[in-house]
Amino acid sequence: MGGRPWSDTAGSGLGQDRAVAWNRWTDRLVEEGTHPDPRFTFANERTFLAWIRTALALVAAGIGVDAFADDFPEWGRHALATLLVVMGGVLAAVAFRRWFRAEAALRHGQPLPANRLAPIIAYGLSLGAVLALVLVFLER
Amino acid sequence: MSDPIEPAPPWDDGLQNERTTLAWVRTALALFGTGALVARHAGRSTVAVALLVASVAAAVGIILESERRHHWRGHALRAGDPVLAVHHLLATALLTTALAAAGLALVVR
Repeated sequence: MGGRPWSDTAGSGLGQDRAVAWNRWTDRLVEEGTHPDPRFTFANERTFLAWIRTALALVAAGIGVDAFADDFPEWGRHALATLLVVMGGVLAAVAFRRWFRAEAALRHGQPLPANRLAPIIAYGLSLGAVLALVLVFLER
Repeated sequence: MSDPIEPAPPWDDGLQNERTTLAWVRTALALFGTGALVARHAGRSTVAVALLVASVAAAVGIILESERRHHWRGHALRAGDPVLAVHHLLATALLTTALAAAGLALVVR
């Protein structure tokens, strides 16, 4: 790992120039502020992973609806599946952004950024539930 | 590190490193399971085989990397060095978004 244990590109196959450019981007995070208590870094990382698993569950749910909800009209099945899968994709991308901003806040001793993932989940799932309810009634 | 701390033993009394590694392994399993489900939805096709192979490769890669990270973080914790990792998190987020994009393509096709 050399003197930079936080850089996980060490020993990777990246070319020298690309590795430098890549590290410069992450150095923005690493060189600003001070290293927080390692427990906070671990906790932030586990929270990120929990959001990733939530995103994966949404994708799986969407594919499940598309594959197995045969009683729903086709447009409704596709609409519900699309909503769930898109939510999963967006959540995964926003989860990284949230992790990055939380880590930066920890390094500067500032309050954690507002949670933008919770509204995505709450409004998205509400919309999905209403849609599913409509489809259940249409099916009769 | 401007202010290296020498943690008193036990140096990881919350088992942070182990819990984080297990969270990575759970995430790898979820990625594999979801990838297999998306692959199954692609029917009998080259796309399905590619998705399945990619999912297995991603899950194995994440688990192997998490074991490697567990190892160096154990040393970092003992030495009072930072335990920050950035690239693996970005790669995992991108893989998940890519899997969602593949799933979306199958749903709307």
